Amino acid sequence: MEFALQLQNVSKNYKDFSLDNINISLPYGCIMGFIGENGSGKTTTIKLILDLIKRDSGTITILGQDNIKDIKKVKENIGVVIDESCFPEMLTLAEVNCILKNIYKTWDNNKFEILTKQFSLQKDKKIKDYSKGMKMKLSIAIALAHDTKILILDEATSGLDPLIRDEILDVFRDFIQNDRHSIFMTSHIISDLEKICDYITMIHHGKIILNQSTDELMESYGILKCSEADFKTINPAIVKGFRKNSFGIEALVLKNGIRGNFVIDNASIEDIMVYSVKEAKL
Amino acid sequence: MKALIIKDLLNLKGQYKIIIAIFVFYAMISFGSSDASFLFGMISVIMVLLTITSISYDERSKWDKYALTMPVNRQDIVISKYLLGLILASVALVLNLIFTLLFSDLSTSESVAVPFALFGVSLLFLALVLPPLFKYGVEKGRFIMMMIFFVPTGVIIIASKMGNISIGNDILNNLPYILVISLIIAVGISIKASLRIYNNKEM
Repeated sequence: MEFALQLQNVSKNYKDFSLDNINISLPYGCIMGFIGENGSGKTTTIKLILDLIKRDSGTITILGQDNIKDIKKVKENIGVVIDESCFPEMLTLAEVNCILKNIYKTWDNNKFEILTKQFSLQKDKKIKDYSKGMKMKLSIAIALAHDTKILILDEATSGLDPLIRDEILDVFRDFIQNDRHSIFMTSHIISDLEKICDYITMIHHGKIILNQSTDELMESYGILKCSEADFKTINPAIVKGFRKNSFGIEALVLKNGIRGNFVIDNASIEDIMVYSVKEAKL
Repeated sequence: MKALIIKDLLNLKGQYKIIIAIFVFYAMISFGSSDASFLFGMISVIMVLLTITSISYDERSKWDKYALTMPVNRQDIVISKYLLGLILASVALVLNLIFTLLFSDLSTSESVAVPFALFGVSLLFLALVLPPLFKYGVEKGRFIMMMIFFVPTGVIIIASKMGNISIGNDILNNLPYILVISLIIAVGISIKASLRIYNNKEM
């Protein structure tokens, strides 16, 4: 199988934190959601992918090319949104367009105009007067307005209101219509990821602890609600995490391991993340 | 590369009005006192500082990190700052030459030499200051910048107090060439150092 983005045994060590043997494979035509709590290593992973920091070991390929050797050519096909990083503040939209025209050989003026109009970004306003959401929308427009084949998004939808987020998800869905296009995205707004991602990868303390297709995840996991006595009869191997409350036990379980008559609700990805991470902490 | 320089020149446009105001102000003073040397120094200093201002703007919006996700490599970013410095120092040179023609007594060859000397000093200053700025950023690099300003000044003042320093005629006659060659070497070493620092920088 060919992958749009592939990380193999990638490690990076800091004094107080390390990314440990990260393996990620994103097939062409798919959207992968990359989740994990704050400080789990999401942004570090993205920085490694973009060669903003040097990896200690492992290999990373983007669109089939090594991310260090052939990066300049490949960058023409990568669209990136990084949280808080933007154009210098004194520039206006028209000036940004003029600069980008000189950066990307494949810059698409028309598309940029359409997107900025759709996102209602004002032309003659300086970037320093943009709100956080507007800066985000500007970055998204830039990420899409060249010959983009893969989008790498770090918290691209956080800080935006639900309406705009919905609109942006539609833009992403449009983008993914082409089966050679792919998206790798992190977000804390997991409901967004649930709506659009084909795969979910979860990182915790610098290790990948979960990597599955969204459908599989939703099918295999469930939230079991039962009394403490009943809970003791369940095979602990299928319990991924639980919490006690006054009504009994709520547990994240593998559905197909449950025998007998129990109430099992669907688990959202948010449930899966919260319970798994809690379990890992115990 | 071109794009990065366009970006800096556009981004600095807010500064131009202030600079023009300063020019007009000092030009009037110089016109009144018919001594333009102060104006020359001001123009050069302002132009050199603009280069540093552009780096601090980039830092504030975390631009470098963003630019590196585009078809821009680390070398482009480093070289573009040196080119920006060269462009701005050249603007200062041209302005100073124009002011020399307007205000100074052209009978002395000295008055034409001053703008060129300032141009050289501007480039030397940038050569000294850019590597530490790439390493530590403008905020932390400020102290180093001050040292680069003050240490040579201090040395010159002390040297002048120590009395006569005799320089041989041979050296004095060839001084312009010696200075130009050392300047080129200094800039070369500076660019090499900056590239090395920036290539190893974690964003």
